Amino acid sequence: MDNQTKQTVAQIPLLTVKAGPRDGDQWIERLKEEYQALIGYVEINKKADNDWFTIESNPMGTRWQGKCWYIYNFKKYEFDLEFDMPVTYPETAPELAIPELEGKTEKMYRGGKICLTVHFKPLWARNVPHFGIAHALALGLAPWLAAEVPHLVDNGMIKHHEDK
Amino acid sequence: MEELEKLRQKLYSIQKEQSAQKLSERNCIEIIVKMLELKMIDIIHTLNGKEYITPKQLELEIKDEILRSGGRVNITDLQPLLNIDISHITDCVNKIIKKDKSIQIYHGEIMTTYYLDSVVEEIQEQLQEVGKLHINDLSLRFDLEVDLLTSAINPRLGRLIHAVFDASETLYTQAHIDRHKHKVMGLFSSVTQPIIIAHLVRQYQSGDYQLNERMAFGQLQELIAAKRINGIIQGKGSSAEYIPSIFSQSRSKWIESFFNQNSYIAYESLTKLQIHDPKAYLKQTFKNGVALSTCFIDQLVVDKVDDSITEIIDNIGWLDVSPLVPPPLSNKDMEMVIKECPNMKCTPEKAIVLNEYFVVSTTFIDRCFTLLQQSIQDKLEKQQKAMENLAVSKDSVKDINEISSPPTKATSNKKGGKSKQGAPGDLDDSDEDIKPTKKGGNKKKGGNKKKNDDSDDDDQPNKKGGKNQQQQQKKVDHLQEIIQLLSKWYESMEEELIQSLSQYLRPKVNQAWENMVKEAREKLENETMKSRKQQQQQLSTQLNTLYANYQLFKNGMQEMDDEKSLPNLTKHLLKTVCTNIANLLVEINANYHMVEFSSIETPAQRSAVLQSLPSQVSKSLDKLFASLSKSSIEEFQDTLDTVCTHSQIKLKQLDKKSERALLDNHEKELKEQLAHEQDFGNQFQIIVNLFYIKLKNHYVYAPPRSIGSLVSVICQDEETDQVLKDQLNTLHQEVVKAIVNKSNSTLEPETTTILENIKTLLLKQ
Repeated sequence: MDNQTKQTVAQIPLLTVKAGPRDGDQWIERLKEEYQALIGYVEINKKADNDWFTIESNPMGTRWQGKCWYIYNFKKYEFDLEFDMPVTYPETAPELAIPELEGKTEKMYRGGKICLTVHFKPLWARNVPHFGIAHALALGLAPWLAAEVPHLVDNGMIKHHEDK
Repeated sequence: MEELEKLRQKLYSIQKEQSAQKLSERNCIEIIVKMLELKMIDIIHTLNGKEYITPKQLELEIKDEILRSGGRVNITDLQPLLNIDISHITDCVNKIIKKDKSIQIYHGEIMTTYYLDSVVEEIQEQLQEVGKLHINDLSLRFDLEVDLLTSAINPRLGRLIHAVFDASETLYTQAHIDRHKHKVMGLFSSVTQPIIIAHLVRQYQSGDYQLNERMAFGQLQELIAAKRINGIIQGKGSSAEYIPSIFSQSRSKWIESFFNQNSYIAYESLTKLQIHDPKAYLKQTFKNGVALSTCFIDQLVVDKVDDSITEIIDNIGWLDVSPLVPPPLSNKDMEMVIKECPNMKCTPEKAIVLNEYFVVSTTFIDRCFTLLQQSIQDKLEKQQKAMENLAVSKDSVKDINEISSPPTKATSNKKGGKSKQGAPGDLDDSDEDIKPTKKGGNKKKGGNKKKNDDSDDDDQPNKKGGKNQQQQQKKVDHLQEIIQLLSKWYESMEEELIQSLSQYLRPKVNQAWENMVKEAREKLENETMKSRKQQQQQLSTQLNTLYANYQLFKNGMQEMDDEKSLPNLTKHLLKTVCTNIANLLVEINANYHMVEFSSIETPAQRSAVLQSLPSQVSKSLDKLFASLSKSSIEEFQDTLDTVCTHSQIKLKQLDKKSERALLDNHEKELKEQLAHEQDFGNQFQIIVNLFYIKLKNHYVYAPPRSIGSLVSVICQDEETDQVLKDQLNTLHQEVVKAIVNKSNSTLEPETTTILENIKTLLLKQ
């Protein structure tokens, strides 16, 4: 994990409520904290001119979807992002998926779920309930995109929409 | 739930917000590099790389810096301020300078006009306080080069700075200059004598006056031009001299009065009065003067001299110029004066200058010369006369001292000279001089030289010896004589003039003398040659006669066949005729070899003569003389032959006819002698001889003692008349008796009659 990521993560507000989607009011509280964390993260990104995703959820906050993008060789590659809140949340981290890249890379499970590094799971486990969606994006999806997109572009697996 | 909705809205809205655009530093650098590559922008890096700057900004910043530093800044000082590479700065500065004329770079420093203005203003302020500033001090103070400062000051003079910039060195305020001018005015007004300006100014350079040399000089000129000070400046540079009018006026007044009074003025006195080029000054002042080497004289003097010259030319005389000209004139001056005279200029042939201040009419000189020539002529004639006298009475001069020296001529010359008037030295000398030339290849140089040496010691001690001697002796010098003659003729003439006139005439006279002497000598030589030839001829005829006689006598003697009387006869012959022949031969040889001699009668004289003859000749002659004392006629004959071949004399052999003629001659002679002879002994001898001749046709040259043998020969002859024989015998006996008997000097009358008879008998035939 690079320093910048660490710094960024350290700036994201930590969560306190330990509740899953099935915990009723407790979840609402948790959801509030999730939103606050996301807002903080987006603000940080915007400020650093490092905005790389948009996200929104259903009313109950169980299903989330949005977009994420990566700039490589002065070209912006944008992908759809979606994931469901697992029942065991926040014990387990959400499984982030980019369906359109399914089958294009080995670092991906069925259904377009990205294959995270070995460090992610223990890190997450150590920080339950303090880590939320924002952390998952920052520590999971961002490094993955940074590693995979150049590889995919170089191998010609994906193409910029202007080149299609 | 509402809260949640709010949060969701907030997230949404935040996501909608535009994110702040941000470039990383690295990107920025890359972008700029790219842009520079593409020449889209033109910027300059700062040295630390943190900033870029556009040229325009740089220009502005430099301008700001210049302004900030008050208009003068070193370019190297800009570099740390702007933090930009110095080359960009210089480029930019150059650009600025091109655009902005008020800025200039001087020795790496940027200077603006307003900075220089401020400097000059500052100078002006200070100048007003002190009145005088030196550029070097200013240069030190402002840390500006002198020439820059000068060029800054010069265009601002009178505008920003009110001063006089003297020689681009010192600045003065007008007040200061005025002050200075008044000092100069005061100083030079007080001067009454010529003075070197530089010295005076230097004297007042320090102290209260504080004079500036150049300025003082200029102001002095101004003051003189403005007639504030009366005087003139003479000379240039450091030797320039100020001569106050008061001085020059009095001086020129003095010069004028002196010149007018005395008609001359010496340059020296002008030099004393500080006129450096007196000649030029005088020429300028006195138009009608004449410049000489040490003096300047009035034309009047020249005219006066000229008049006198005209006079002496007309009067045929001479002139001493020195009393006519002012006394301080040197000889050279006088010569120049004379040269100035129109007479000398126009007709230089009419008079000449001698000893620089004597003018002598050429006619006068000619006259002198003619006189001298005459005297020479006289002298020569006298000498010649004396010489001729001597030649006539040649034998009379027998000076023992003269034996080894030329016999007649030198002596006569000497006599002539001495008998003339009192110039013995020179005359002697001239005689000496003639000798060597005359004698030419003479072998008697030894004696000659000796004489010369003597005369040198006595008469000509000033004559140089050695090599010059010979040469000098060849030249005849009549200087002394000329001087004497001239002083005798012209008693009023100055001694110097006589000297120089003599010097002038000397070559001419000497030449004339030489010519005359030469002529005379030639004449003389011709004469001597002639006489010598004559003499030679005479001698040789004499010799021939003698030889003929000798032969005749020899023949006669040999014919006689008388053993008894032969040695006697031979001896007699040798002693008389042969000795004469030998002496004659010596004489001939001496004459031929031009040996001077007076007599050869004694053996000593003869041997002296012989010594100077060629050895071969002298040897054979010696032998000849030796043979004389012997008694053989043959020996004499032989040696005589050798001598004659050596002396290149041809002896005539006697032939029958000439023998006969000779005999007749002798006979006639004898008869004549007989007719006049008084002595009976001689008469008898002649008679015997005549008889013998008649009888034998031979002339026996016999001494009186041998007459008897002759008589006996006659008597033995058959042809002779018996009476005559008897008569002769008796006569012989009587004569012998009479001679032996000395007391009786006369014959007996008988005998005398016989003698007379025979005499008349013989004379009749």
